[in-house]
Amino acid sequence: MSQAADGHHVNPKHEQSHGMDHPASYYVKLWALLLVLLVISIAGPMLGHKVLTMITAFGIAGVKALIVAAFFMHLNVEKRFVWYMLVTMLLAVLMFFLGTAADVMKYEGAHWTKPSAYLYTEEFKKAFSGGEEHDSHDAEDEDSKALPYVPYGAKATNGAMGHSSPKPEHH
Amino acid sequence: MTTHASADHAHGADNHGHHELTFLQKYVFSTDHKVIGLQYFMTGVFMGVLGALASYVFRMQMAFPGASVPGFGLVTPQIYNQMVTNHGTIMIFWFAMPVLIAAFGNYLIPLMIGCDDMVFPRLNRLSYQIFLFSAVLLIASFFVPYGGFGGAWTSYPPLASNPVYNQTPYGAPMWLGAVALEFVAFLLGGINFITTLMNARAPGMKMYDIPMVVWMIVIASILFMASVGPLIAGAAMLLFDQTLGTGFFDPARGGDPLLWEHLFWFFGHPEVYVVLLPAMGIVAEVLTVFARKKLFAYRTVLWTAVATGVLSFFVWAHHQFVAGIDPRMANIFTVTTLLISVPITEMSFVYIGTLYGASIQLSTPMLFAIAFIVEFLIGGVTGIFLGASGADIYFHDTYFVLAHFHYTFVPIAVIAVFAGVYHWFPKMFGRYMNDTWGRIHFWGTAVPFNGIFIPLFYTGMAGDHRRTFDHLNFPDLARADLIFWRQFATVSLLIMLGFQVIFFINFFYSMFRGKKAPANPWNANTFEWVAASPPPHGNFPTLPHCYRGPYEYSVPGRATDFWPQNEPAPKT
Amino acid sequence: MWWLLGSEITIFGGLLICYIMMRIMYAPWSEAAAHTNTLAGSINTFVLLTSSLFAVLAHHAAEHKNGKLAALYLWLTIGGALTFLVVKSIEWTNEIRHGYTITSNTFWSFYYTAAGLHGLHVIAGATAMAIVSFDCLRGKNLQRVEIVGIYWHFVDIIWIFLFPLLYIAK
Repeated sequence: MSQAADGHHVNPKHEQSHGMDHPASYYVKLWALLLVLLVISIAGPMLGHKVLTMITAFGIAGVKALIVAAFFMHLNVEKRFVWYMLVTMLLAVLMFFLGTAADVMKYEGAHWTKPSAYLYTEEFKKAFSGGEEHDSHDAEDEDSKALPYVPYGAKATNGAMGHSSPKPEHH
Repeated sequence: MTTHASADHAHGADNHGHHELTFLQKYVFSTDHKVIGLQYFMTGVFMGVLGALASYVFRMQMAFPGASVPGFGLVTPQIYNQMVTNHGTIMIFWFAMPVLIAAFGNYLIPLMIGCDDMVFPRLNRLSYQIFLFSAVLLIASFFVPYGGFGGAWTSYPPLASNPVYNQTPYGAPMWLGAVALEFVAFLLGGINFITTLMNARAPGMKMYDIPMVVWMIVIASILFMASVGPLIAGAAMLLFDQTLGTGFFDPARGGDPLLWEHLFWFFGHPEVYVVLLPAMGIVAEVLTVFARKKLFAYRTVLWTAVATGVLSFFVWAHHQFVAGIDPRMANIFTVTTLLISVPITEMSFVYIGTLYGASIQLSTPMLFAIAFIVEFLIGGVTGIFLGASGADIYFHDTYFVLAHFHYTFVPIAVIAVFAGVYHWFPKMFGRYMNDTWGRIHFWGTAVPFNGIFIPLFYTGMAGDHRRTFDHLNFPDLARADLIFWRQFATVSLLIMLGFQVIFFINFFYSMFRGKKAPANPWNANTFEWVAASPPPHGNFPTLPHCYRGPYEYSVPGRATDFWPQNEPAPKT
Repeated sequence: MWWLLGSEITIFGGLLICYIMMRIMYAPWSEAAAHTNTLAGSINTFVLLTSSLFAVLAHHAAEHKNGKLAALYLWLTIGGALTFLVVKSIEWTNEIRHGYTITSNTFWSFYYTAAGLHGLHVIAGATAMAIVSFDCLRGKNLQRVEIVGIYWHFVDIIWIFLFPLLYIAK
């Protein structure tokens, strides 16, 4: 089969035999479907229910992505291995998540806590719940929002998070 | 002849070879894979020399702390950090990868699969240009105020993210930018290798007829592509932490330094297999040619290479056993790490099996190939100690680790590379390298190498920590025997470096004055030996057709002990 | 191109995984996230989806060897890219004026980094499409329309995921 300069397969009979020869209206209809999905995903949060919002927002994102991938990018007629390769890349990303989440997503364990996480979230809440009213002017002000470095062993300022950090032997 | 047509069309201006190309077109801005391969080789070797000089400087400091290093001067702690950081970074990213993958890959792949160039020649040239720019950027980082980056090649925050800690406010982002650009260059290059192998093979060349080194380089490219992504994201995050003051890795700002470690090592571990696999491929080629015997178990090697690649994505946190990761994860990673030694050992045993019962010719490339197997096995075995998280609690960050990874990296990046250079030099330049000097170079490299790192296993076990400017600051480490072994290691390094001079003289002299070599000086089977030495632009006057596998040596009943892939089967 | 996209998946995937992990962990980020401009985000999603339509129509035209029509659709796609960038600039200027900069807190750091990286890919895509369109007008290299189209659809898909992550999940 002929190969163009970029090594990409181009064969006029190729698209017709593989059903790529759609009229333009086919793509316009798909676009309309994508817009409908977009509207649903924007409307989702207005229903208020958090889990429902997550499902509509991310589920629809997934569906939209699949529509674009399969139909606009013609993955449905491309060689199978392209799907496998892309899925493999996604699996690699998933693997990264699985290995990292256990460390990054926790701020306490059986014998340890990450005190800066508590302080960060407390200070953060204080800084931002009162924060929208002030029009702070730009990057120079970030120091007022930057938090002080928290030395190891500091306790959370309120007991709301429950645990206090274990006292280290040496400071 | 469609592949011929496509590559021809893609060549654009330097088409058909009928008109004379200017020097710039032929050597500087070429799209010919052989020229680009040699450009990567020369740049990579140049950077490797810089990395070796850095090791000279800091080893002198380790052996004779506080003394002025001849040819350099006094080594301050800052300079020590910079030397150590850039030695590691340069050797991995600007020496091992370019030479093993980009140089050998670019040069050999089109030749070995019987086509006239890569499928994307201009993308190939672009990838070299980006690579060259990244190398220049890294070198430039040494000349800015406060010097090059000194935060270790692993660049952990907050040392790497906070200029107050690493004291190299300009060098750090430049280093990071150079590394990121090098990644981009290799992503682009990898696309070329994979697509060329998939699309441009000679007619008749089926999956198991492909020479092993080509498979290995392509598998390595795929591994690289799948693993480098999170680190590129992390590099952007670190760059912003360094320059803009964001808090991605700052715990006080909600970030997590451990996140960087995961981002880095998720790539960092597959990376070592990215460099290992091409080296094993080169060794496979050299072994089969000089053992006059087929590879003991081609499919086993191929599929264990794939298995190794896949497994390599599941082991990365063994670099973080003592970093405060969840101990349950440490359990899992211990198991996977110990598991991954199995396929690699299997490949090594296949290579030994290839030697068994063979008519071994101890040529210079063969000497290096055999040394690779021996020394890499030592490296691999010492890795087992480190893979067990319990033992690693003691060994982590000591010279034991360092000796382990040099026992793997040096065979990969130095010994296997020399095997490849001596083997393919006649093809690349049409002349033989001097064999006697090659053997002297071999003994002067393979033996002193052990003299450097075996003592370091010992000093590591005794407690020498890595990245320490002066061990004498620690009373327990100021023992006479440790001081002796550190000096022994440094002297061995000096000897080893000295012998490399022989290689360079041999290399450049032979390029112009070596004895002329025919197309197939080693009586080998694979397609690159069909082309003239050196191959012209377009490689083959007529593209070869593949009739058999690449390792049909000593086939009973034949007059000669080799059977080139392009020779049609005799009509009976 | 597919191999390039494969590696890009890991780049954006890595970045977004880091974001997701921290977002789930730090409940107070939802207060910062409340300040992202959903209207601007929705407009941009609409713009990118439409530009993807134009890109696939350009491919369609190229398959039928209609270089001039393909070039027209490519320029409509580029128009979408430029609109996207304009809306984004207005949005970001507004946010910065309200004090939400890249260093305000880590949510905003991720926001600007992820959207910024995406924006760089938008610029690159638009540039590539412009270059391809010049050849198309002369009827040359029409196969490249499909290739830049695939890249463009990928840029769109990234945004399809960025949109709920940064704008909807509050």
